[in-house]
Amino acid sequence: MTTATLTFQPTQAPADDPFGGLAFLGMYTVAEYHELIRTGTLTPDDPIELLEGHLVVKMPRSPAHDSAIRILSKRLYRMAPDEYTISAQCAVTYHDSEPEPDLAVVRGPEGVYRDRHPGPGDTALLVEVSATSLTRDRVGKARIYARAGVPVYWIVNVDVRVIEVYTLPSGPGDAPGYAQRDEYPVGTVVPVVLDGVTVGTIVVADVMA
Amino acid sequence: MYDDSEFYRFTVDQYHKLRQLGIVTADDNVELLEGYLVTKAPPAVASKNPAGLERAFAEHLPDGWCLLVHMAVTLSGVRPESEPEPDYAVVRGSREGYRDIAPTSTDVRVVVEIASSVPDIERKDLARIYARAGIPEYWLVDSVGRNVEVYTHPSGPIDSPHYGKRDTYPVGLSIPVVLDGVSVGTVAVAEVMA
Repeated sequence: MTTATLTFQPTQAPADDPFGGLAFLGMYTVAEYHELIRTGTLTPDDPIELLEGHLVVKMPRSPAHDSAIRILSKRLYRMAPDEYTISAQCAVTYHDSEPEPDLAVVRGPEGVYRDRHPGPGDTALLVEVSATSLTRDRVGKARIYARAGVPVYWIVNVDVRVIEVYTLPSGPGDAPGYAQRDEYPVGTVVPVVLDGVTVGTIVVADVMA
Repeated sequence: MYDDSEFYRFTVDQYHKLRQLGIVTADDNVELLEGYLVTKAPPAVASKNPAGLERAFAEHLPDGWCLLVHMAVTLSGVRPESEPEPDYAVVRGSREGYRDIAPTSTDVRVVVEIASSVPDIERKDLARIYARAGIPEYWLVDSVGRNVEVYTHPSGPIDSPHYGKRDTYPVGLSIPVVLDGVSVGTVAVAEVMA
């Protein structure tokens, strides 16, 4: 077993960090994170995700949030071709992050992911349902998903009843992001595009409480 | 992107596992403060008299007490949990007894911290942490201000833990050393200054 080593990144600590900025809040590689899970140091009861090296506590969920996931997942299951798999609140592994998006449409049959989580080349569409987590979803998660080259990223904003669709990811780079952002309010339909093919549409009003 | 409340806090048990796994090593120079791994800041003033305090204390400790130097004390049971490494700690028992296991809050009577280059950590954060754990006495050696702040009457685990009393002893005065209500001697402030 190779021993994971701690990689300190003190300059990345935001100014308002606790303990005078000396708390190491960004320090875990994906390999270290997996080691923490494998050894039971972190358990499924710990509500966290690895985001850009940080162990970040997941936001509490509201009924509107969970309802949107249920409705969307049912529709995505129906319209996704056989060569795709839908997963709800499952991990995806990127180079410095292991987020657990609310919904993921990943390439390949489900058996492919028995021994590993989907990676950068596997995700066709990711969905985050946003209630309290809007800033994290728009800034941090968008940066993570754009860096990983996830082609389509949706933020379902249940507070204002809009689905934001991000496309044209930059891939890795200094400031990863999506070049295109479209908003679909209630009264419109969102095309579900998997690898360039429109496989169906979602009625925005159906998803919102 | 993230604010303080969003970061995960470790328990003492998890922290021990991080050390067992080698994810945190001695070289990392961190301690567990309220669930976060915090780098130990260097002292504000490099000590020219590092053994002074150790000697001053050693003269006074009766049988059944010992002085631990730069060793961890486990403050668990109340979250957020901490395992700081005070510069000195007066604890019940002998040093040999703490070779493999750190003392807990019931063993520790006095903790001593030398003010670092980030003195708010000692004055605010560690005072809160030691008060939460009910450590009866906390000394903060301020080598810049040339005095020792002695905190007593810890609140215990309330919402905003704090010490009820703070006495400042400048150079020229001596601090009484009290263990379990028994006065065992005094330590001159000049002796503990750098």
